[in-house]
Amino acid sequence: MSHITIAASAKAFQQLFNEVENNFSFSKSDTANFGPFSASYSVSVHLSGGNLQLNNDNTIELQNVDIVFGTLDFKLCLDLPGFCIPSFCLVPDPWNGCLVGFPGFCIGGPICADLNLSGLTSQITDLKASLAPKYYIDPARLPGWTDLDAELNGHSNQWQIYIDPVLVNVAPIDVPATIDNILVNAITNAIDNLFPSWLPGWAVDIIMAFLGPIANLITDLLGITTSIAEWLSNLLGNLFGLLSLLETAIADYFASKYPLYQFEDPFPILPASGGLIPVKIPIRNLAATIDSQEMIVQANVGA
Amino acid sequence: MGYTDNCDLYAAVHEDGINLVAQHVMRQRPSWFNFATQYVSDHLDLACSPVAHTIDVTDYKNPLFKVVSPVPILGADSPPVGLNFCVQLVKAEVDFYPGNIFTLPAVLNPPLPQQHLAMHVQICGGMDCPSEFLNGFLPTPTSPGEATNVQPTQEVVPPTRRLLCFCLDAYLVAHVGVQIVSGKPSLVGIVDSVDVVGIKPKGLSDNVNCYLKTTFELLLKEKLIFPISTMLFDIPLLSLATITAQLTPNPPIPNNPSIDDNQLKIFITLTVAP
Amino acid sequence: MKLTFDQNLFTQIGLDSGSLTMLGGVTHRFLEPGQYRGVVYRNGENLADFYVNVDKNSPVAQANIDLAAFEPTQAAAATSTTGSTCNCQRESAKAGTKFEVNPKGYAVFHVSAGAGGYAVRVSKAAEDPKQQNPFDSRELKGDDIFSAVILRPGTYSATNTLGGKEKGKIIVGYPKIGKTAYRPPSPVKVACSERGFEPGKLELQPGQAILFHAAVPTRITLELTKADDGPADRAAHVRSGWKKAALPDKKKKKA
Repeated sequence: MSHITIAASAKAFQQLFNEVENNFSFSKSDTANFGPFSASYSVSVHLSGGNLQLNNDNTIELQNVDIVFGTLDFKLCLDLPGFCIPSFCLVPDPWNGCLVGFPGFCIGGPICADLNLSGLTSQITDLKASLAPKYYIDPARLPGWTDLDAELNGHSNQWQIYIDPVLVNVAPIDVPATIDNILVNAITNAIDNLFPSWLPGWAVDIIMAFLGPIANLITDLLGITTSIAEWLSNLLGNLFGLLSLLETAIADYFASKYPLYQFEDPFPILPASGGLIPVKIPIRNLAATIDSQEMIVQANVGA
Repeated sequence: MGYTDNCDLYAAVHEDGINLVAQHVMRQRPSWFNFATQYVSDHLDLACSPVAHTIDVTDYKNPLFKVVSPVPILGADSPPVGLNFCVQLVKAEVDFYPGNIFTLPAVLNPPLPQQHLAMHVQICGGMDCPSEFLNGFLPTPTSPGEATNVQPTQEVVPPTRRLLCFCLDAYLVAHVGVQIVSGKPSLVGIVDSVDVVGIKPKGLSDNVNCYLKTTFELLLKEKLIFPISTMLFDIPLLSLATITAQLTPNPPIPNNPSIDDNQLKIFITLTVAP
Repeated sequence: MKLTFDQNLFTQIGLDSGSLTMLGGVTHRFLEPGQYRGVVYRNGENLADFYVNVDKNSPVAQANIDLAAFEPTQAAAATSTTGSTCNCQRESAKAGTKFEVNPKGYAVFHVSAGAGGYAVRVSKAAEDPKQQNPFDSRELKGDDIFSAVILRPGTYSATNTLGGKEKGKIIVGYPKIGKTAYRPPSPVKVACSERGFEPGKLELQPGQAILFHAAVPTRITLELTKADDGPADRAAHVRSGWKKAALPDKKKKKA
């Protein structure tokens, strides 16, 4: 029989897990050129909620965890070299041809729209993991140090129990349909900002009429064959690879960044007092298992 | 049946683990278990038993002995004379119910009752016998009528070449309670009875037993008291502001803490703030 | 982004067939073969000359003569004042440039950029004035056509300053953003006769061309009489400055 047994009920485990989940953060920014347009984003993410289930096969399963993009600044630049409003016939010839065409006007260079997409969400649809005890030896610990030396220098060894995922699946980013209007308005504003001040309102309206519905313009220019919401979700999730990055970051975080439970080894049971050194107990053979009811941690006291 | 069927957190320590813990405590806090005069403390070869200790104890200049005053020779005051001695707790072992590590003496009514623990300690001690000192001893003269004004003469402690050592086996029966210490629920041992084997007559035995019982009671209450969180290796739940932890009441847990199955167990219920 | 278009497209309101701008052009047929000499005027000043060889054997059915190309500083003008990099790349026409056209073809005088104000006079290189058969864009006649485009919405008065009793009325509607990008409808033909214009009233869309056929001596002027600045509730396109487009607050899914 193990010298030490500690058990946490499913309820207690949920609370432990919440701490791990709440401390997750992920930040990333990137810029990429996709031909007719370029885009960049800066994102910070945290996790929220979800359903945790303990299984009898020594695993935990996590579902429907919201991945909240607390910050998601997105910038879309339409790179439009040589894009011109097609000319129309200015001086028609008598046989319904065109002698002189309206010379048209061209749009060159990038037009950029900043979108604040903070608050978008995705989900961890499925995360399956087992518990993995690890013994952490602080790399800053000097070879000649005793355990007490290491503690007093802040470089103690640690027993750590991690949630070690075997699979992580993240759902596509949930972009609401309202993004259509938001993007259209942003592009429209960007175009409006380009008109010279001398340009009368009716001329602006003619130009806007020539451009046609901005939504159509955007979908044409960006090559969008689905909805803008789906396109944006795909752009961020797949073309920028945010979903893969998130899956990797989540797996890495749970597996090695934030332990579910950790304590110093040797574990101090009596603090230093009156000039006397603390009393520390070596812990050996730490094991962590789980079943549908509880997490069980067992260990021995070293000699 | 799960450990947490009726609670949220459960912790248990087996007697084998506790006995290893006791050894670690004795090796890392030797001055809590070894008492001697300065002379003996300065001459470790005089001790009745070598003092086991970790390298950190000496590296960090912790004492091996708690230095105490010599045993006074009653009536001797010209000069006062004291004798070197030492008392050492050299072995301690715990046996949680059901008793299976050692046999309790009959006076402690074996077998060990439910929800109790037994402890066996071996205490060795010895005192100097300064026969050679007396051969050359000359009392210090005193003047009549000056007794109230003279400075007390410094105590003389005869140099010691060896102590007359002996060892006693003592047994005690105790149970475990919970006390709030510094705001934290903590486990504390409560001594029920003590017996030192082989001391006669009964009056002397009763005195020694009483002395030891008092000693252990105070030692357990003053020094060997452990927050419940220590048994849980400071699991982070206990420090969360949103969580209130309390010992699971009876019912559903009849004994909490509980001593059974050779283990000391605690059961904790958590309340999570909405 | 940089929008590049000729400012004159939107600042010159009204047209005059005798003072051509980017929004107007003149088409003429040289029916008699021979060598012709032309002179380009800008605001009444002689700007440059050119030659047109009207040849039965010529395969050229249409000679496009860009009057703006005769500007001495044409190359600079094309970009410096307008910033234009539109698809109206022009080659600079030096004085004395020769054009060629079949007598069954057309010569098209137009203005590709700039402020305009051009007129052109072309006559056959003959000593006998009766044989010179001159063409002057300030007095259209015969098969000549004045092609005009009105961009600015509003009501216009059309006048033949060389005759014609009745004035014409042209209403150019206000642009609307439809389901597809707007493109002007086909041109509308208007006959210019002694009676005036037929039809005398037109309703056009912005950018829709009008072809004035000059049956009598004609110089057309189009004058804005009433501007149409659109519906009162039209969305104002004003510089909004930098503004972050943000999603609306999303309600929490779970309690």
